[in-house]
Parts: sequence; C-alpha cells; structure tokens
Amino acid sequence: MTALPRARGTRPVFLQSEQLDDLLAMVMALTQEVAVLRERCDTSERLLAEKGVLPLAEIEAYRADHAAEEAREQWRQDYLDRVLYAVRARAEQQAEDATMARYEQVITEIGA
Amino acid sequence: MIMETQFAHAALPPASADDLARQAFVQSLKLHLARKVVPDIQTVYERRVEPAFIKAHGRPPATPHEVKGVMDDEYQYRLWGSLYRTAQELLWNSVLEPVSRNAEAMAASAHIENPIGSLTLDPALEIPRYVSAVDIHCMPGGYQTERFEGDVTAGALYDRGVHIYGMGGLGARSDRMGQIISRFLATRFPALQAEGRPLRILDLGCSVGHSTLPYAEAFPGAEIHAIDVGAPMLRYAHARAEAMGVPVHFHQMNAEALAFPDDHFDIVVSHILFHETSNRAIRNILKESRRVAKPGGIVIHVEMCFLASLTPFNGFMMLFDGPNNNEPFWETYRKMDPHELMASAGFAPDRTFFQQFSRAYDGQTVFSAGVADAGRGTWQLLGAVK
Repeated sequence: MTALPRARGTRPVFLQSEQLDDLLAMVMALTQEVAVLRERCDTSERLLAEKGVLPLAEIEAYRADHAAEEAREQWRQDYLDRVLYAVRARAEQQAEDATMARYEQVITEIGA
Repeated sequence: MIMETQFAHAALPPASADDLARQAFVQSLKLHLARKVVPDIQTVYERRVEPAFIKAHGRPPATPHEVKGVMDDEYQYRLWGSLYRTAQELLWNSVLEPVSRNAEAMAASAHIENPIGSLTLDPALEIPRYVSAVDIHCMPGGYQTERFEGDVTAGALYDRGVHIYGMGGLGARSDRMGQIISRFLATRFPALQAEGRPLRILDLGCSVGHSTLPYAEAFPGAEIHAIDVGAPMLRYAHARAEAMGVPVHFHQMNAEALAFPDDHFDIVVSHILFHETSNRAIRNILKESRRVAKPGGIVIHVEMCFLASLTPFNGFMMLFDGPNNNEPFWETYRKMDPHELMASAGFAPDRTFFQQFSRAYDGQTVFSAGVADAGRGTWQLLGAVK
C-alpha cells in the first residue's frame, strides 16, 4: 500500500506533547486492527459452522492439550519479547548506567 | 446497537471485508465517544468546574467561551479531543484505502452512456479560497482535488465517509435532511404544485447529491439542477444519481456567481453549505439565490443551529470542530444573525421565515463532535418567499 494522502491543515495538540497525541493515535489505530482481526476470525467461525465443518460449540469447548499449551505459551513469551523490547532495552541501559552523556563522551572520543 | 446500513447503489466504492471492519470500528468508536465520553466531560463540568466558577463569579458561565476558559485544560476534554480527532483521521483512512484502490475503475464506470440527467463541468472555474485553503473536515484532498483525469475520489470518499460520520443517522441514502426539507416545502407551500406544471429546482453546494435526490420524490416531474465547485464530487454525484435512477442536471459552478438567468427557479435550496463558505461568500450566495428565484419562488438555506440556541456548555462543545476539524468558518457562521443576513441580501422581512427542525429523528445523528445527544441538536432553516 502506498502512503495515504493526509488532510491539509494543522493537526492540533490536545495532550501534554505531540508525542503523547501521536502515541494515542497509534494505540487507536492498533485497536482498530485488533477489531479487524477479531471480525475476520468471527467470520471464519461462522462460515465453518454454517457449512457444517466445525460447530461453534466445538471451538468454544476446545481445550489445548499439554503440547499445544506449551507451544502457545512459547509463542506468547516470544510475542511479549517482541512487543516489550523497548522496556527490556531501557532496563539494560539503566543497569549499565548508559546515559546519553556517556554516549556523547564516546562521540567526542571517536571524533577526536 | 447497529447503525442503518448504507444503500448499496452501483456507484458506491467497493470495499473488502477488512475495509468494512475498519469502517465499522470507526463508527463504533465515534458512538462510544458520543455516548460515554462526552457525558463524562459534562459531568466533570457540572459537578466541579461550574460550581467553582459560580463560587468565584457569583454566576454560571454565560457564554461558550467562558466555559472554554475553564474547561480547555480539563483532562477529560483534552483526551476526548485527541481521540475524536484520531477517530476522524481513522475514518478517512478507512475509506481512502478502498477508494484509492478502486479509483481508476470507479472513474471509468462513472462515465454514463445515455444518461437520464446530465453533467456539465467547467475546468476554468476558480476554486474559492474557503474550499481550497485547508481540507474541510479533514477529508484528504478536500472537495476539489483532481488526482487524475476523470477522477471521482472526492465524491466516493464523501459518500461513504458521511455515512460513517453520521453513524447511519442520516438514513441509508444519507438523505434525511433533503427528505425533511422537501416534504416541509411541499406541505407548507401547496400553491407551488397547484398549477400542476413541473417545477424547476436548484440545489446549491450539492456535493454528491445526498440532499438533492429527495426533491425528485417530493416534487414529481420537477426539473432538478444541482451545483458544486468540485469536479470529482460532481462526476460521482452524476454517477450516483444515474445509478439510483433519479434525473438531475449537475453543473460545476460557484454559488456566488450562478450562470442561470434571473427569475428562473421555483425553489432554490442549500443544505449545510453556509458554514463551509466565508463571510463574503455567504452574502453573495444569498443574493444569487434571490436573483435566480422566480417572483413568488421559495429560497431555503438549511444549516446547523446557531450558537445562541445552545446552552453555554453545548456551545463550547460545538466550537470544537472549528479549530480541530478543519472548519475555518464554523464559529463565525454560528455567531451570525439570520435576520440581518436575509435582510442584507434584499429579502423582505415580512416574506422571510425561520424554522428549526429536530434532526434527531432516531436519536442517532451527530453532526458536530460535541453536541452528541438527541433533542439538543437542531437544523436551522433560513427561508424566504421572493
């Protein structure tokens, strides 16, 4: 998809910073995409039931066996690693006292 | 609660299941904001902010701007504003994706062989500054942008976008306003049709013809003309009217300088046009609508209500769209004096009439961000018999 054109005009700032407004917009856009996924899933379930392939009750009653549950748990942990990468990165930085001042020192050293 | 589904005429942009899900989400988000978040803002105002104002000044805030002075930094209002603006952007994005994908095919099918109406474009027409300065209500490209030759993008965006924006409350054909006003005209002025001759009707600033088409039903056999400045809107309007089997003559024209002769139309109307024009334009449009109306003909301009008819709090909420939804003339229009406007265009005061209509036929229609609920919102009609 090519980038959508945007409306000409000024985007107002409502919250304490432009970043906060933009972050909220991203959260809402993601929330929208979750709704899209949910609807697609719902469509699949309804079509499967309608065609007699898989009744909804069977999906509802499904319980993962041990192996499946382990695979799911692994997927969830990987998923959280990806989503929360910034939180982990920040923790590492703070543990190493990797402040911007220290990095600027490096820049000066390298450039000297 | 599920909103009314849009009528599936042949010119409507095709959309995938995911597109439709995105659009449905925006509609749900807007409803949620209107029903849950706006009342929370009002609660904060009534329980804490207004009492504090009364304590300090010995009276409640008297104007929308006085309310703004004490509410502008309130967290609930700010967060709602950010969410509302975001919803507006997500709305256009969710429509723009399928429309852009299908733009070329839609343009090709908008060319109608042997139409029952007509389409007359004027490539030399100068687009007025109040239309081109910013993209009104944040619709990317506005009413006038030509993305390629024969483009109908603006019309397709508007048709689908308005349905989602109004949360279905304008009816399946987004024609509730035209339905109400055309029926009002037919009932209030039976003499119009007494002679049995077909009437000539003009709709100013018609966009895609949402409000235009109902006049064909209310006045059988009428010759209906409709004008707008945006060529992509008009191409789409023409295709839509043809798809719906209603003969309309669309012209690319500025309502401030109509290319019609004097004393030409039995009825001249506009629907929510004024607030998207300018102080100078509105007066030119009123004069032109008077000029082209026949003696004894009816001129009616329908708009949303004036600020004076709202409580200070609702007025404050209504002001939101001006700075935050690319509506530069929003507030100035809403403070105008309808009597002065009509008189300045030469309409005789004793032949001028004003009327308010509840737009809340089913309690759904939300035409401004903040004034959310039924009953408070009205349409304001400015009318005259020439």
